[in-house]
Amino acid sequence: MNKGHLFLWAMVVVLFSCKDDTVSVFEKPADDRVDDAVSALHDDLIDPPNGWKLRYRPESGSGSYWVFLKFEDNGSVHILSDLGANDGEFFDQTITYRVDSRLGIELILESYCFFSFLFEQEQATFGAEYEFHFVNKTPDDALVFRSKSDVADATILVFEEAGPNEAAELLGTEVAQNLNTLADDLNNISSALKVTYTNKDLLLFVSLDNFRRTLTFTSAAKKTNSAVVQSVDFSTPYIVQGDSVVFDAKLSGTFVGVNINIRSIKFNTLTNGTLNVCATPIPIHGYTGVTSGNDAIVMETSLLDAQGAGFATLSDFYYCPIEYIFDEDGFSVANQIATDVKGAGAMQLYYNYDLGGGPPFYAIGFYIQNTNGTTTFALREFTPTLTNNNIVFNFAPDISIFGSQETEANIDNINIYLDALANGGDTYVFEYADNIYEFFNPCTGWSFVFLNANQ
Amino acid sequence: MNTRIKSIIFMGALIVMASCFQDESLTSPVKTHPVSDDPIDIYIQTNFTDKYGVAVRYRYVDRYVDQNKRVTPPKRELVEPMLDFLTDFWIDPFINVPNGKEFFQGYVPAEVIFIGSTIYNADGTVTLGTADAGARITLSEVNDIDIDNKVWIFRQLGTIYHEFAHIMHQRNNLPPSWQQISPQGYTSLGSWYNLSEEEALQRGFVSPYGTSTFNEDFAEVVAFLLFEPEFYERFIIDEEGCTTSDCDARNEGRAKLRRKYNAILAHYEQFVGVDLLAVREIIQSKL
Repeated sequence: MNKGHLFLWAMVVVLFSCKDDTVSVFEKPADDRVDDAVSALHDDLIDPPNGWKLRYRPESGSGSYWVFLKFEDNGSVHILSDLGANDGEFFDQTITYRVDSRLGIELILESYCFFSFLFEQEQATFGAEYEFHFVNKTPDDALVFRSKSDVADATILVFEEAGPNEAAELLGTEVAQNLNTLADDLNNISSALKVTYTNKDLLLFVSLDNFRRTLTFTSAAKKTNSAVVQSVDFSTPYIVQGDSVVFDAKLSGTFVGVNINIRSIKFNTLTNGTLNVCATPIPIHGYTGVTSGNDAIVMETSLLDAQGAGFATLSDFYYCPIEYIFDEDGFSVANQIATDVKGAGAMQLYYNYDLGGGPPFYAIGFYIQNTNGTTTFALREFTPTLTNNNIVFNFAPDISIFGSQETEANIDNINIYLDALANGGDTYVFEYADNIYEFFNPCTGWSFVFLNANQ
Repeated sequence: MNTRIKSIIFMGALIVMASCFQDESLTSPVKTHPVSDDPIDIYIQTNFTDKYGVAVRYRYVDRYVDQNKRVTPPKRELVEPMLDFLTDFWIDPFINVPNGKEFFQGYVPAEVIFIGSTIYNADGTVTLGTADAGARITLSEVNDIDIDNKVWIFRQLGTIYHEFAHIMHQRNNLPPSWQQISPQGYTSLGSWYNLSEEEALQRGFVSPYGTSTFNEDFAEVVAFLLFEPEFYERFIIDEEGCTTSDCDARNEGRAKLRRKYNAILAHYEQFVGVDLLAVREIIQSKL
């Protein structure tokens, strides 16, 4: 075969090779398939006549919220929740949503809402979310989403079709708001509540985290003798459901001789009361209810924390960075202290401290870093009177200077902060967390968070 | 290769080139988006996009924020008040001075992004606002809008004027000899936050952040010049009767700031014909 024939055959092969060269694996182009998927999710979202219900747990370890979402074809979504923050702003909201496609099909809640409020808590480190990857539709027509913003341990959300009256039955807006009222009574950091059994000789001391939705039972005491105390140390996430708070885990056991079981508390009436420890009575509240064990109780704001006095035996030295000192409005006064007491870095509390012989040392004041590199400890010695978790500082008349005697700081100004702490002998100590104690004065409204320095 | 073979190859190539073109259109369908009938979108289209060519993004889109930052969207009901705030304190002061309208329309970034919260960084710090290559300004803390709160107002205005000033030097460079006014005062990379305001002033800067780069220095002086009510008292007019070295040092810093101030005013006059002092006067009358 000569070269001419070879080229002719080659051309014939090439010409025929261009026929039928389209291989269709999918019926539609990629863009069309993405559009179809977006439309399908959009159609599913708007389909249920009563919308969707979601039992939402923002992160593992937190409690849960009932949330109801009614998506509309016009891009709006009506959200109902029982998050009682911001005077009920998140009970009923309408915002816009978007079904989008990036690496997968996504649901984005485009405006600030219940979900973004939770997302922003704790400097936006709380594990809530407002962007979701669509995962799948289950055989019983629930829609499954996965958090887009969780770095690890992504939250899974299951949207189930809501019944006609479920929102009214499950959302506990009144209970949520009343629990907020209780938690806000004293404006302190450690929520301090006391549960009093009407028909039993029992008090339970409780700390409530009402956005994380966890309850911590710290201790129990006898109603007839609050000096008889037993540690409880039980924490559980909870969900507000209608008129009840339902625990994830049951509290059961015998405390100060009283056997109890609590899986939930059904609340009834919020009552008004006063705390009469300051010159001006402080309004507080109580919330009556019945436990799942059929015991009548009253949950009320309290200054008692049976664990608070434990600071006196846990350590002999505590410190409080100036950033952890808060005024009556809850704002850190670090900048004010830096101006008043130049170089102040932290408050220090010496409690029954051994100076190497001699009587135990009790003193409180500031650690001061001077500009010349030296250190001054400006402390006011005191004799303590500790009754339950109420500490009275009986101060020495003068401030004692240890370390460098030369300092640019105005030493007298430390009394501004000692007065805010100890005024009236009304300092109450609450165990905020392990090795961390809040010293709170309800009459000045100031809080000082001390950490165990020996830990 | 003889002529006959060359002819065959040529003809074959022509056939091949022509053979596969049928039915292979390169025209792909153009996606269209329906015009929004959302009242907020209509308001933005009418008052910002049509007038100045700037799009305001208030619905959350994650690509507007770095992946390692965490933010929340703005509240819907606060978008219009925030737009009005921009109109009052950004658009109106510029367009109501000679040459200002042309300057604003020519320099305004294509996009303004609203973020509801502050911008939370992974290291625990926060960012108040950003600008990207003159094309986009991101404003945070929209959910905290409070026109009676001077702290919030000054923080927002500081961000807006600062980022807008960056576009000026990106288009027209820094004023001549800018880098020679306070060359020793700039801080090493990432260390500006160790400086106090007093130390920054003594070095000839209006803020510690201004010491981070020449460009940030320029943007900070422009921003403070526009929004700071006590700009002259703090940064321009010398303290009299100094008896301390700190006081002398502050006045030395002010001498440098006076050079920067004059350089900036001349730069704006020369390149865009805008009198920044006239803009400042309008802004201050609203505060």
